Amino acid sequence: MIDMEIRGEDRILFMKYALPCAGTLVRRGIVDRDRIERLVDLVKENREIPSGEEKIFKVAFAACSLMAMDEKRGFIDSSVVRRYFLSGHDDVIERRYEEMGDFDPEECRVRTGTVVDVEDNFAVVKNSSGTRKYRIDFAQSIKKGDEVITHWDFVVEKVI
Amino acid sequence: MCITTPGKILEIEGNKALVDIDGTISEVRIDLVTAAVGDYVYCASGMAVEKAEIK
Repeated sequence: MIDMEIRGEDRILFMKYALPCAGTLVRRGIVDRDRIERLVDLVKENREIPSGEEKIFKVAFAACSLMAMDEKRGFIDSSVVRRYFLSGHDDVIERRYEEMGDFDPEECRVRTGTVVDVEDNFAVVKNSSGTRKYRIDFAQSIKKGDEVITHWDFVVEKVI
Repeated sequence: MCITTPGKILEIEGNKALVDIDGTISEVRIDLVTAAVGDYVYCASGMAVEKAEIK
């Protein structure tokens, strides 16, 4: 694959959006859960992620690469990452569901919601799928009333 | 999300190719791979994401 570069904070942002999908990869036997939880910890602690780990998410990384290419950018930046996951991602998951059929596309949707409560490692978020708990490893400073992005069982980030 | 399916490139026009994936002909973008007609590529969601070493 032609490598499109992703750097520093942009790479961490990509991992925050992509890692919540990893449950599907674990179920398919592509990666083990320990490797994913190690990556979650690295992202949470803002530590260096080993080179190439973003390519575990081959499809999302390819889609971001094409978006960056189409916009004549030399690398994937945070605006590409957000645009992909907040808009292009829905089309990709519909197609992936047709191709694979082994995940719940509704769970995979990236949504915006409002924090209604925060407890230890979780936030209760109300969004278009209802009201439920999400892990806040990637957004530990959120508080009640914040608008946040959710993906699978994670809060990805506060809406900026 | 990342199991990809190999397909054979039948035709290339610009950055798009017609690929035979298990008997189904699909149009995929090939910007991310260096490949020619007759080559196999791993595809997902309308994108060729990797060249496959299948002969």
